[in-house]
Amino acid sequence: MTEILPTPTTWPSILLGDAADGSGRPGRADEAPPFAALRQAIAGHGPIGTIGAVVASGLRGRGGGGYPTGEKWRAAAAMDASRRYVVANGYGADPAVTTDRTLMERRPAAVVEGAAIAAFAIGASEAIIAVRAEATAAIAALEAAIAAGEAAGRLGPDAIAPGRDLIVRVRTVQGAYMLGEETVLLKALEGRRGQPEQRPPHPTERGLFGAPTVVQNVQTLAALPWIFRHGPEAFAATGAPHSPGTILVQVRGPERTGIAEVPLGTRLGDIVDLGGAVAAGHRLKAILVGGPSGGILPTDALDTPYDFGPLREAGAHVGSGSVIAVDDRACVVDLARLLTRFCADEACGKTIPCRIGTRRLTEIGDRVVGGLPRPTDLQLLADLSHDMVESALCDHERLTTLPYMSGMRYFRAEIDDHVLRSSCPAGVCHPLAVTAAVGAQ
Amino acid sequence: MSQLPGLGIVKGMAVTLRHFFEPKATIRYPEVAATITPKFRGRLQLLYDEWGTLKCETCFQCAQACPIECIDMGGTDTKGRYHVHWGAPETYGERRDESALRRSGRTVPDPAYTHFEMPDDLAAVDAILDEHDRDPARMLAILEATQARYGYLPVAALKRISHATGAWYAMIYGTASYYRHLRFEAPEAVEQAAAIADHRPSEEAFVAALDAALRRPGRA
Amino acid sequence: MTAAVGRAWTRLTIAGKVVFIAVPLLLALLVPLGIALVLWGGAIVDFLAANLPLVRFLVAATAILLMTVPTAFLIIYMEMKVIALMNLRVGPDRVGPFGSALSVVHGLKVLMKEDFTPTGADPLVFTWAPVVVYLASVMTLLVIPFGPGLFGQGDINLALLYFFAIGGLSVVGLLMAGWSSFNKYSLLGGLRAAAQVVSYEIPLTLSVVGLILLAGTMSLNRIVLMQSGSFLDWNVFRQPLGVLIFLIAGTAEANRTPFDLTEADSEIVAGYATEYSGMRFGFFFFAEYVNVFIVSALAVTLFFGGWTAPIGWPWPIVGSLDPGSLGIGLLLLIAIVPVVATLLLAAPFFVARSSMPAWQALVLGFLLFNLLAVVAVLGWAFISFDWIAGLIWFLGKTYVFVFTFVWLRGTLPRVRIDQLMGFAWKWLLPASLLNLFATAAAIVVVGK
Repeated sequence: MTEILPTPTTWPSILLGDAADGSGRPGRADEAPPFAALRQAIAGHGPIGTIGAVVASGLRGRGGGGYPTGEKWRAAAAMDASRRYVVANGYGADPAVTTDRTLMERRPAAVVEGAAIAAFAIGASEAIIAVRAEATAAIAALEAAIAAGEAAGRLGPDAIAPGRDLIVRVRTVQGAYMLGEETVLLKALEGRRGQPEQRPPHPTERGLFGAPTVVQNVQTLAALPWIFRHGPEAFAATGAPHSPGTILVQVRGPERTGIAEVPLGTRLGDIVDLGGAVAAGHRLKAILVGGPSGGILPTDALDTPYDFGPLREAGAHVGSGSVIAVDDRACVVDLARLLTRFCADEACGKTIPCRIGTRRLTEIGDRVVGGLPRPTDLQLLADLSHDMVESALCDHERLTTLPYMSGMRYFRAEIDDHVLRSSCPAGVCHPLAVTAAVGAQ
Repeated sequence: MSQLPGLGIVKGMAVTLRHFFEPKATIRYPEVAATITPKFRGRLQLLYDEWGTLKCETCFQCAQACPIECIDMGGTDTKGRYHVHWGAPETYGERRDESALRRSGRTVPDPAYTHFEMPDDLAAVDAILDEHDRDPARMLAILEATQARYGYLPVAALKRISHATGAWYAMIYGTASYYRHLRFEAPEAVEQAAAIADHRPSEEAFVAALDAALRRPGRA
Repeated sequence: MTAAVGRAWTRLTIAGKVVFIAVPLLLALLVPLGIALVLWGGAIVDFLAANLPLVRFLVAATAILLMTVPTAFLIIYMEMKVIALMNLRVGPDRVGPFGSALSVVHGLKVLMKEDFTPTGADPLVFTWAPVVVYLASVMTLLVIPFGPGLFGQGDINLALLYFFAIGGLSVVGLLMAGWSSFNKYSLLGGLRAAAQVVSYEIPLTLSVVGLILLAGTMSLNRIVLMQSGSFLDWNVFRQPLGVLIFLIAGTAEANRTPFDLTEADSEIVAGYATEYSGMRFGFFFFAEYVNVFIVSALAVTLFFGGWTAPIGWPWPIVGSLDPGSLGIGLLLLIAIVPVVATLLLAAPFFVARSSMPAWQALVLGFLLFNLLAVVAVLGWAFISFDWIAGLIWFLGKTYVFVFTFVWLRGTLPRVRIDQLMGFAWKWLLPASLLNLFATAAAIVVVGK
């Protein structure tokens, strides 16, 4: 199990609950009667009221895109269909991040309850929680929670009313990084080749098996019980004005690595500090925000609020919730190349700009790092990234350009050192000469 | 750039002369083959119809039409001899033969199209199919169960699945070749058959590479 | 008897059938020929000796006709390969070593195509048009000196005039082709081609007149001799503007890029040759490439020294060997040298690559010995016979210009018909007139 980092007591603990550190904090998700929120939603609010409550809370999707959850539910509920589905994305595509899995291990009941609430709200009778096949502890915990719910009569056939089922089940998926993308996940659940689809039509219009589907990250769903217990206004008061609530972040710092629940809008520097101070003799150089397809932000960006909009403007994105502190022993260009290569390897190959473009990006990266860059490489990088973003079918392609684009934006000097002077300031890239002794900055 | 008339021509000729001596960009196929990723969509593949039978009728139209002649037809004729495009297709004993070949730039041998061994029994596949109600929507689960049973996905099993579920063989093949934890070749050791998370090695490689790039010992 | 032959026939393979037919045929031809030679050989030789100029002409004409076809093949191959290399492609690669047999295959293909006459076309004119074009090009080769003493017709002192006159006959052929195709687009193409050729003939001819003034003769042989010595004596230094105009107008005469819109794919298909197929089209095709050779050859002859060497041979020419004087030594030489040379040349391969079987090394050695022998013989011939030396220099220089034409084709876009005509009449013609007047004035002033 991944370590949970201690966080300031002023930060609310909506998702992880009292499993965080057991101290009495405001708004912690203390033990409540299981499935109380579901009962409240079914009995008290009704489907439309539930959606209204979620809209009022301002909850946004935690899967990286930050789409308003209530809007999504409204769109799915408005579709005229006989079947609808809710899919909880607990896959956790980022190999270095285990936030979703940890959440499902620690608070499976919240996830299951959130999925059930979502299913009730949009009129679906089935909710599917997609989990990694190797996350056996999470799977076991979820199935235990589902069994408890069925035993209590809250889930299962005729749970809502006679003739209206509320079935929650766990499906294991594995085998591709792209499964983090919602249409790909739906394909995998349908047993087909995992390639994304053109959107529109969005999954809320035509999703799993052609039925309107709401795909939410497990973190989004896990926040729902708290919303119903404490009220949407209380939720809207936490976090940032336009992005209320908290999000699980996996911090990889110089001293510690672990998961923390941070309110949205927290200063990025505070999050980085959770990972500990930089080792003596070194300084913080960059922050990798968002996972394999994330942006590399400079130390000037430490004041950026950790929020969907501000991060996107800064050239990164929330993504998988990964925040990695990079000190000056690492080379930004090498890191960008590594990330881009991973994204290129995991590309599904459906569209030509992605299939060929990601490959070309890695080739450019290899050339720059290997010491034999072409003089047109940087311009090509910019043009290629622009074209890939413009022509992208799915976000994987768009986001693959982020490492290099943010690198070009903020670390142009370091890139220029590689390209123009064939030197690597961090001394990482071969066979380039080391210009600066490590640490003597 | 025309202060001197004709200077542009001379500059152009200098460029072409320089090109004359530069290394050429042509890939000299078939001595040199371009690297094709496994997911390349230009590979020549035979299609199967919805009953799992090969659609190819060895009519030679494709071989005749191909401008670079990269398609050959082969098969056994009525005397059991193996030929490559000799004679009319009607003389082939079995027109829908698996052995229709193509000379394309495959970088890896595709075990699905070479002579395939029948596994000991396919009753296990039938059992798996019944368990999943022959539902093509549960294809991934069926494939994973088949792999768990045999250690890999035999072609005969895939054909049986195609017959039973009604899904096109090509679709099943496309699905199976996408997910990294499914494989088409028998594993070297029997113990590997039980491993489910075969995508993990590439992910672990990424995490290890990330730690190496960050120059810090990796932590979970 | 016939049954036996018939049975034997069916049992033969294809090669056998060929031999079965060819051997009796050859015998039937050669035996009477041999008998005729034996009987009347002496009389024939006497007749030939009496009419030596006629013999010489026949031999020259045959040689030239035979020479044009391999030349065309070679230039076609050069064009394909050189332009490909300039385009960073590889070009013909598979047929023959480095694709060299491809142009031959193209020629064979052209021969095997269906040779039809379109409905409504004038059959006589249609058939003779390509012949006229081809012959007009080939006949001009009669007067070009390939080497000292190597020219088709005796030292005509009107060689240059003959050249331009006969060369101009190709216009007739173009018009014949365009008109007889019964296709208004072919007619237009033919008219345009004829207009192009005619327009550029004037600057072409005028650019050379200055040279004629300087040389005082129209004999090509004497013009070449005038340039013997070192390359500083070449006419290019005496008539720089003339060379330039000649080359540009020559490019247009030969329908080469950038003036090749009559045969461009996007210009009324193939212009005057639209309705032609098979060998008739092959004639046009060959004629064009022979034209390239001719323009280059003429440029070399007139301005770049013809068959003379750029620098005089610095060492005294070694007297030609007389192999007969070696006597028995010659026999030993023939017996020993090849064997010893093969062994010597094979030794490095055998030593360096021990995986190579011995016979392979020996074969390589033998091939290398052959190569060395050929080079040695050529070199001996070069220094011993001045006509071989002259021929080699001439061909070398000509092919430099052929390469330049191909190089231009690979570099330049083509001009429009109005640009083409404007360039000829507004720029080249005044320039050539200017050159002419300047040369004449210089002659008068300097008092040559």
